[in-house]
Amino acid sequence: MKKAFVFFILLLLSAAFLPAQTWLTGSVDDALAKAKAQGKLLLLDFFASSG
Amino acid sequence: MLLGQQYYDNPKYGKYLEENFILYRAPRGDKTGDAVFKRFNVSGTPFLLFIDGNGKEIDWIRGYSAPPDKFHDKVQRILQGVDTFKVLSEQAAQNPKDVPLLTKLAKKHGERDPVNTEKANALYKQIVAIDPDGRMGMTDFGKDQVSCTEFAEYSLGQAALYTRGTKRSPEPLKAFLKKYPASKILKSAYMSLSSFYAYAPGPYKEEAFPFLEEAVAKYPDYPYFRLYYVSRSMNNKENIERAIEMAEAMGGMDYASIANYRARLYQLKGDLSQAEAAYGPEFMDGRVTSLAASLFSYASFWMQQKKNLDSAEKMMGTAILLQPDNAYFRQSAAGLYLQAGKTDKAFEIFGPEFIKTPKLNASDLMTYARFWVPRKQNLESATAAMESALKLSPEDAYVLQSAAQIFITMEKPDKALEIFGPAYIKTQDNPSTLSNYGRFWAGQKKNLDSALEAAKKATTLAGQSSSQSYLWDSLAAVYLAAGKPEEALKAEEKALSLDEGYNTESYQAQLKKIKDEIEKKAKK
Repeated sequence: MKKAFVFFILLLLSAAFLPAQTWLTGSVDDALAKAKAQGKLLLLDFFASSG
Repeated sequence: MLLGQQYYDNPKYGKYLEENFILYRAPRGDKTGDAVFKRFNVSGTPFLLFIDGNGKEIDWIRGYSAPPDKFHDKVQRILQGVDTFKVLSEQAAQNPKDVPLLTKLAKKHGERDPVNTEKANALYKQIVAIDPDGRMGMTDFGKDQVSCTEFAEYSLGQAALYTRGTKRSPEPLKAFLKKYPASKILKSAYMSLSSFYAYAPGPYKEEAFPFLEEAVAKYPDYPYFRLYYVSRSMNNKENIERAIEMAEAMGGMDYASIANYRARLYQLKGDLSQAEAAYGPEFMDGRVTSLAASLFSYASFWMQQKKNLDSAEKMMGTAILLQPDNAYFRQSAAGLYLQAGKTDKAFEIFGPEFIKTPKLNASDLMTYARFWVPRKQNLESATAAMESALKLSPEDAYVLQSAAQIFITMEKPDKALEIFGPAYIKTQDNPSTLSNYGRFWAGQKKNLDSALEAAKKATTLAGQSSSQSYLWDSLAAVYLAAGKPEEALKAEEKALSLDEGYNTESYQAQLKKIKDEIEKKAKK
């Protein structure tokens, strides 16, 4: 029981420290080519550090 | 910021995004990021743009508001193709008289580019033409529903007030108030018109006070209308007594208390993410920014009056403590301290230590350099700041022009021409950059052939709208500097014909200078 509890806590912690998504930042054309190759949409996030 | 904290950084949504999209981030202020903003013609943030593999825009989301679940719904709907820009455009091509559909599409266009509303306006005009009585469908306005036609007329009225590059007019929105006296959009229409009348130039000055009185009488409990009246009064320097009455009646407008109550109510409801949206870090950051600005204005006012100096300096220090990276505060404070003979204080605030701040951008560094060089003080540090700025943003027009100004002050005109001369301007096609270049060299009375070429090109590239009047004013300045007052006169008259009243005084002052020059030339 105790082991299961520790495992559960570790699982929660590992989820919390999972890296956030991978965001590309280089060439948009490369990102578009990647989207085309994988048949996905490209999501462009335009942001300012203050906003 | 809130979008990152509540949505992207939340593992609940991260996996979905990773699995379904290729994710690309364009930060403003970064060289590559700025180029992406320009390429996709994006201005405000946050803004999410969804593109297919062929580069076709599928849809977009402007802004973020909690709760994140609701935001995630929007993202999911885009992936599912529900009411996306692409789908709506295709449907509208099939059903060109479907008023609710056209309204959805017009709103999409408005969201894509809130400044240039031509595409949205064209659709709103179609809606009014198809359904003048507003019987063919309803649309959302906040939590309310209004007829699509009513919304279209309101949107066209708004566009007439704000759209860049057209002759601005309050008349369509005033007609809206008359046509829909019980509209659920009425208060918003009054707000927009009041904001317009608070700052509107020349011809609108006379209608401003009666309109603002009408708005205050209609919404006596809403302090913003009084605030607009006060602003108008301060602009005109008229009706001051009445404005004081208005300002006194604005008392009790404490947004922090209101936000605190809202947050407590959301907490009672068990909705902490709404509480955060109303009263979270972003709210408090805004309060700090606003407090710092108030402290700075207070301190500047009293330091200029040379009164209440102890208090003013204390408040200036607090403003800088609250916003340590604000180069504008530091520069202004340093200027005031130098005027007061307190050189040590000026150096403490805006001296060599400041440019070691890690977050500074090229514009901050250039502000620093432009402050010290003309004063012939702190030159080593100022030059180092300029060089860092040029390295950080080697193609930025403001940075290059500032550096040229500094080189001229340092009596090194060749260096100025090297970085901001004919070779640079030949690569530019932005009317504003070309015009500023022309005006800059006209001011120096140097490099006038290239200046004239650039200023002419600026007027050719730009349209004939009122917001472009300054390009003609710049051209006139260059002609005048080049000893061609007759051409300058034509350009200045063109500037005046395009102006709506915002720049009349300065244009007329230049016109007088030009006419004097013509007269002087004739006497010779």
